[in-house]
Amino acid sequence: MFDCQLGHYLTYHHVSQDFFRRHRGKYDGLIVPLSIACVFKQGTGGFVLTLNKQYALDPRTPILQADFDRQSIRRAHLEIADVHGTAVRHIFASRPLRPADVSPLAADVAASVLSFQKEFAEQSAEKVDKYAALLGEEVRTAYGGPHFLVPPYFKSSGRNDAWYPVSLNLARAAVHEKENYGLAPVLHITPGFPENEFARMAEDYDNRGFDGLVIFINDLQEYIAPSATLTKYANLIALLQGLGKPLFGLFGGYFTLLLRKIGLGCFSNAVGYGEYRDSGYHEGGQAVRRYYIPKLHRYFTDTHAETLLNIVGGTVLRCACAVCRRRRPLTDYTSQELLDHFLNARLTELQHAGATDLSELLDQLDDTREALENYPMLIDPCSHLGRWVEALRPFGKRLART
Amino acid sequence: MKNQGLPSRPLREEELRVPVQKLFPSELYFCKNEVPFGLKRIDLLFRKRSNGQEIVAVELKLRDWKKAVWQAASNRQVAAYSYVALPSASAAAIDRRLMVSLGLGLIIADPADDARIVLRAKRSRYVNRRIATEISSLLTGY
Repeated sequence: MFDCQLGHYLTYHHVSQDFFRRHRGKYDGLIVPLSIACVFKQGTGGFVLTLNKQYALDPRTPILQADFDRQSIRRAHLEIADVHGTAVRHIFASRPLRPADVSPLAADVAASVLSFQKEFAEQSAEKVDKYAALLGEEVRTAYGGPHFLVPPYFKSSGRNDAWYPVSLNLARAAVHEKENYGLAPVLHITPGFPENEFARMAEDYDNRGFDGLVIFINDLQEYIAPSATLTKYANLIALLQGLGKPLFGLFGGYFTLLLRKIGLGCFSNAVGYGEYRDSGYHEGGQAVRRYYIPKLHRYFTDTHAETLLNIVGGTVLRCACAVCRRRRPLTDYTSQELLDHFLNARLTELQHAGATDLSELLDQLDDTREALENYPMLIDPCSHLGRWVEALRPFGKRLART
Repeated sequence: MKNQGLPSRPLREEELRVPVQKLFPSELYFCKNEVPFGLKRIDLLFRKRSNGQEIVAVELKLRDWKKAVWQAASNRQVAAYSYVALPSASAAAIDRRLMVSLGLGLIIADPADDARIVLRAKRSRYVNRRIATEISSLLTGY
């Protein structure tokens, strides 16, 4: 189900429609957050449908379990609650949801969230004409539904966490509502979820009604996470791969991209920001101008990235994509150019990783790290490379043996 | 008993500010503290009164010279000359070859003494005119 050409989805954002249109060939599909699908329903639907890419809607349910000041609830979050049903909406307006609130409602909540996803295409038809005209395409009589359905899900820190069975029950309830669609429940866990419970979790989700599994480690910042956490993540992927179901990584950067070598089918990230996410984050905010350094496989603020390139000099860290070919300070790039550059870099990474075995990819990370060892003040910006290698090297060796 | 031989070790970066400012006297330079640049702040920024183009940045640090070098290297995007200022007790550890290769200058500053430039900064090749002009305008009138 997630066995896509590139293995890469982008998280849709309504302010970057032109970007998604111009780069249509550089990603497989879109993950549309329910918040955006609700608040900008016609615009989002019209745009996404006429784009003719695979898409799925992320219910973003965990915001409903987040504890924050109820005075500052955003409209988008109220709309998310609405989609989960009247009872949920009523509770969420005054306090965070508790497992006991949702358990008795599991069937209704799952049905309501899946209905929204199944009806998204037909209810978004009003603006299809506008977007089809922008794309220079004829309006079709009918546009397809999502590539797969995503049941509502909650974050849990272990199998003993009271939210864990709630998510599992929601996924099971969703099986009865999926009709002819593919269904992919989200295993949304904290980085501290005990590794010795992974096998039982895999058994829990070994359900014939689940056509694929989405893995979402909360707030996993790959370039900061210790190698033990990254190893755990890789072990989870390797274990789940044994179920024979397609696997999708919701949010991730280059480390997650490398997990495609050990069984992950596809992964997604937002453009310019959003390679990780805290599902309980309830505030908005302005995006920081960031530049992706392909050789280091991570973002930096534009001033930070410019400093790195200047310190190292030469072409070691320089990107040769169409945007970067014309040499100028990164701080002079427009916001659009920063995004364009990122997607060019990500495409190159995907293609390169697709044609190279894991051990060699890890050797390349090691080479970069060693090349920068002469610069003691670069230890911090580059330290993630060593941790990624440490976490994945055993898999590289295993793959080489087979 | 008072230790006569060693300079007193400053406890706060703030204590380095006045000795460093004396190196760039107000008759010759406009000066501004804590100038925002990117997500950070430049500790001290000087602009020559007679030549608006010449901006000097100084990064004050008590101990962590690597962080100071990083920030000073970053400051080369807006300043023609970029310095690190450290107390004498910390300056011994600094990798001077690296400083020279990056064109950074080094100031030794102790609270009780005058600061002194022990390594002159080279003119930066990385100044971004647009940002430098924006930042330079903040220094007018000081």
